[in-house]
Amino acid sequence: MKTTDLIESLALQPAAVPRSPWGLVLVAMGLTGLLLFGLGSVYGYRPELWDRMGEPWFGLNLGLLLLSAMASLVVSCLIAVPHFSLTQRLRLFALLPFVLWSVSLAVSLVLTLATNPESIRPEPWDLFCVQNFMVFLLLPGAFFLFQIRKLAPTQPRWSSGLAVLAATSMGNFSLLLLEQQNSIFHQIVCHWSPTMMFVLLGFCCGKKMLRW
Amino acid sequence: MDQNKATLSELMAKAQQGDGVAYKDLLGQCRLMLFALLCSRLHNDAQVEDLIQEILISLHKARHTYQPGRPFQPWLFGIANFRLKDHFRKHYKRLDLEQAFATSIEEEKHNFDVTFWASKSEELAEALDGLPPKQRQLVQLMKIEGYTAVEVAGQTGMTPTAVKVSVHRSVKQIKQTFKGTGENH
Repeated sequence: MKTTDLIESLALQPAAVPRSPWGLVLVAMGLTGLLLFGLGSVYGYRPELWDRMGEPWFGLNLGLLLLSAMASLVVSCLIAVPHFSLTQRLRLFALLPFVLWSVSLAVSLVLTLATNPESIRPEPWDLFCVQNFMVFLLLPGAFFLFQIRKLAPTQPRWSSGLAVLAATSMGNFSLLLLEQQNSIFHQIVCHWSPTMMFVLLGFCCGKKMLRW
Repeated sequence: MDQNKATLSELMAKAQQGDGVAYKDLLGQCRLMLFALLCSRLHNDAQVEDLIQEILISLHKARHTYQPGRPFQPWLFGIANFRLKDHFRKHYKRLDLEQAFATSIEEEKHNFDVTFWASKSEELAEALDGLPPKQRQLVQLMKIEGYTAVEVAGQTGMTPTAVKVSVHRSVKQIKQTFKGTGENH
């Protein structure tokens, strides 16, 4: 087919309504908030939540996780749009969610061990974390990826990795609110390791998942 | 240059509102820009033309992501660079495969023992000559020329089952002949 014929045929097709990445960010945040509220209603928040909120490391950890989730969601949507794919500043900005997440991890680890060294010991746990992670990966995670794919991502690995980080950070955030578990060992094994694993998986499979 | 940018952004904004003429004009201008970009990276006219078409299709698929009022060229070149990288990745992967294939052919050529296979070929011809003419014809048609049992049956007036049985027996006989010559040697 000649290029001129291709141009003719493309010009005959109906126009597409412009979509803003900010709209997707807002919808995704709303849906995640609803999911958090729904899970809280079904399983109930941890009984000593208000007492824990008074502890500085807990509040800081919650805040950093929420910031990391929001930053990764915003950056994954922005970096997906071809407009922004070439800007150096945005490429640097893409590291911010990872920095926030790592700081949250470090703060949590250092302050917990400093204030409560006993928390290094494992406590008995059930499959609630796994269920929670799967809910966040399968509902908001899959939704983010599906919507980001529609934004024609030109950095698919980064977009996919950041979308998965957004979903898993929200999963971690919800676990801090719902699960009555104070062991840092448990957090390392059941919360942070799966997050890293899923984010790496997101990076590796990004090109295939976000093909357009 | 600024005027040109504004024009492209305006054309895209009009295209998003359903103006087919503006869209066609825009795609025509994009084609020229892409031609200039790709000619400096690729040295094959056919490849350049193929890639331009691929990028124009990608642009068409992603046209809803263009934000009116923003500069058009970074958006276009974002897509173009993405497709160009994809093209190079596929190209080098194919090149690697072709080189691996060429190397294996070269190795096979080096390892090919002409004397051994010539003597085997002669032995096979002798074994075929040892078969009755009807059986030889069936083996020739099915095993050498590659016809199916049904096609051979149609040509020789036999049933497909009879053809299969006859060919099977002939092959068995040839194998025995080979075994015999192998033991003699």
